Amino acid sequence: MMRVFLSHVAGLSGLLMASLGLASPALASDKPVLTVYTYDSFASEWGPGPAIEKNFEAICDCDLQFVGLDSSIGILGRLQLEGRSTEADIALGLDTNLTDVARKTGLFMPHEQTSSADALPVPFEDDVFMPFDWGYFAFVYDTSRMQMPPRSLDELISSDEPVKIAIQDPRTSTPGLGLLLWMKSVYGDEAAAKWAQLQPKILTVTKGWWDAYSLFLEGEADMVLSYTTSPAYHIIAEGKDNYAAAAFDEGHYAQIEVASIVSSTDVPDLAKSFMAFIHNDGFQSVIPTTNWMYPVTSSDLPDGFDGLVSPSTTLLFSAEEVAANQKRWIEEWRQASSQ
Amino acid sequence: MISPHPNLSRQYLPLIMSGVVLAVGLLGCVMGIILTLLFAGGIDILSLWATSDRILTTLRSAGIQASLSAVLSVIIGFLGAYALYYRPHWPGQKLLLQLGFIAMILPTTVAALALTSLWGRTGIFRQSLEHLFGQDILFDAYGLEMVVLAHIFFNAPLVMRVALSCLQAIPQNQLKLASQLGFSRMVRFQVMEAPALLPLIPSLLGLIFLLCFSSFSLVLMLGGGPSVTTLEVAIYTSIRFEFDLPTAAILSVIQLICSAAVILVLSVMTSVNWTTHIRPTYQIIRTDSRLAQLLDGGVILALWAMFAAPVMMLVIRSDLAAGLDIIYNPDFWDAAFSSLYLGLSASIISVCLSLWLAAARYRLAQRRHISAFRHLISLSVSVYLVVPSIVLGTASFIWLRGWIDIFSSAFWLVLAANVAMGLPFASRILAGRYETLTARTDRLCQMLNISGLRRLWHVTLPGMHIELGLALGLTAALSFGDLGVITLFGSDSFRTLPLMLYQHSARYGAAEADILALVMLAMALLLYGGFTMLCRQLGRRS
Repeated sequence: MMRVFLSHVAGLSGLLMASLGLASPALASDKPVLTVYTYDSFASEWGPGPAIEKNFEAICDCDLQFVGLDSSIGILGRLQLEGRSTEADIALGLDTNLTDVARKTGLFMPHEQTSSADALPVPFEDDVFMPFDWGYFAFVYDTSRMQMPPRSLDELISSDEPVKIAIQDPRTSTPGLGLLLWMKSVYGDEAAAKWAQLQPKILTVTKGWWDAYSLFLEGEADMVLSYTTSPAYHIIAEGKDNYAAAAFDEGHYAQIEVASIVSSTDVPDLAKSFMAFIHNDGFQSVIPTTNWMYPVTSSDLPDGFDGLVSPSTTLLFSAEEVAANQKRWIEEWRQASSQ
Repeated sequence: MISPHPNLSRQYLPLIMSGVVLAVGLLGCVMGIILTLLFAGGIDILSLWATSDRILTTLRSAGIQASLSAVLSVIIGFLGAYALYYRPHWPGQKLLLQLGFIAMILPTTVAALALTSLWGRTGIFRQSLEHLFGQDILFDAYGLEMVVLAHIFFNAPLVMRVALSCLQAIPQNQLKLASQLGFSRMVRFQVMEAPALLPLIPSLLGLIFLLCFSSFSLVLMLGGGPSVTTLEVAIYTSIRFEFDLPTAAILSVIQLICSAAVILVLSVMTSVNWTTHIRPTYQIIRTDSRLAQLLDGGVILALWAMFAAPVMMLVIRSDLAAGLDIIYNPDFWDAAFSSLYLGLSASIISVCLSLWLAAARYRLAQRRHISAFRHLISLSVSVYLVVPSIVLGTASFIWLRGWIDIFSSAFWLVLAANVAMGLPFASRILAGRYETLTARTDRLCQMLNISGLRRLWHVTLPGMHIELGLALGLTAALSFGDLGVITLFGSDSFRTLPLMLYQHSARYGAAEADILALVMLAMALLLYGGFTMLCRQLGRRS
């Protein structure tokens, strides 16, 4: 009996192993493949991914594949883990805070294209990193549940209101890092103390932007760190106007998102043409209503973007400053958060 | 230790030698891991000093959380065992014990999701309390309390089983005497039950402390930020988030030291056997005090709420229509296939290794003067407790990085980690029974001249069919539901269901996560139930 059982197990295992081998990668297509590592919401079916894929494949005679990773800074982390054997050709989703850090890893190569980005809040030109969209960070809330949102960062931190906010981890998420830098640029050396003061209001620190945003949508958090443009999604796509961004007196930290070519790419020419494509209409026109950020080339925005918060002060550190201090500032945050 | 017949010792030399080699191999891997970590590039006094603050905060956080979890688990487990001991005739008691066991088989990711469905921000407990009291008086939805709650959910059932079997071991004549003398519940407790339970406390506390101190997936999912962490989570974040290998290596070494210390302390205490069968019926003198009945009932009701409610909540709130979409996702089938395959392979390999080591150890016992090898084998089984999977993953990563593509060989690494994880459980279940069975059948087998593999297949395995089923089922369910090394090496091409659930669960409220969780629960139960029933049937037929 036991023998029969064991022989069945052996046979089944053999079958499983065979099918595992057969289930390996599908048939190779004859078109060159351009693999783009990006964050999950970009590559999702409701994000810019599908439309951009369609538009680019129409002109490139290639197969564009997005790989959605669970966080934006995770793109860099993943590339570091994979090293030279990575399949990625393009990394899309880091931001200008990280360009210096990323450049120093040696994982990226110059794109050799001219940038036609003329709608940025601050000028940005880089031979390795190409901007593809931008926005302002802001705390988003539900006007039907919160009638009196905080009007400044200070008010959010020091008020007695039992507000619960969802934020992201600055080690994995560019919005998370953005908030860290926002606090730093407003409070400087007092930032650590302010973080400690903010702790009771933090519901949770998530790994990526979408994790925190979905917590907010589910009602678990009262406010979420997102962008001034997030309400536009609800207005345009859902017809709901009860979501709004809180305008803060101190100004808002800006984010310019960038894309770059991975040096170990096996299709450098194709990658460079994708870089050029980023400033084409086929890419930029998709951004406002799928990634819900501002395009980098001047164009008409849909109506829903009219009533959005427009900060008077733009806060932004230089990439070199961030690179020099990132570890120290993150450690400061980590300590203040562990109290 | 049952002493075997001396005439049989000589023929088992190959078995003994191979067993010892295997044990040395396992321990050698640990040494290799430690060495790899120590010599990982970049560790020096400066980096050690720089991370010391981080190490201390992590240790403090993990220590507090583990202590709370251990103490509360033991208290609740004891309370539960006590209530069950006095009310064996109440309906559903057996189910309650089984339910507790299921809490152990439940994948941690599913449990975390189930617990947040109950205790989370939009969970039913919090909502009703808010209704009653007008504001949120419950603890934070993510954080220390939640992690401790989850740990209690997993560990209290084990404590309950152990305590109950211990209470049941109180001799009948003592019970009769107690009833004759008319002892009240309080006195019975003082005189009989407390002395029986007291010796268990140190080893239970120690074991649960170790498990919670090294906890990974629960802390990852429910911790809510950097203030609630364990060494393992810290190692994971330093690799995956910050790509800081030297820090990861330092943390791994600290983890090894802490685990080894606790294991050493545990090994000198009486070991607990939490797989003893609870006898279904036994005599006990009933106490009829209304208060006692009420209290017992209260405890049992609380236990039901604790163990059954989270999963039921998951079932209730699952939105079948929306969630069933996950079935159409090819990633789901890939992950399911990988998970099942991993579970099956890991359990079979674990059990084989455990049997091999148990056999070698048993035959070694005959050569009474080489007890060192026996201890070696005993120690090699507990490798996993000293080297948790994240540490294994870190070391493998550091070691193999330059040579092979880590992500494509992820399967083998995860398999190795799962086999190591299953070893302590499997050998604890199998070793004892193997020894008693082999001792009993030694003489008979020698007379009938049955030995070697024939004996294994015809005598030993059928005789152990219940334990085999339990070992196979438990290790399969455990490695099926494990979220550990896969977090380091998971990628789009290789994913397991727990990883998928972890990724989905971050999107709270997504119906897919709920359905995924329920599917995983069903599969884990199927693995466990399948193996146990299969072996029971096979054993019956032999």
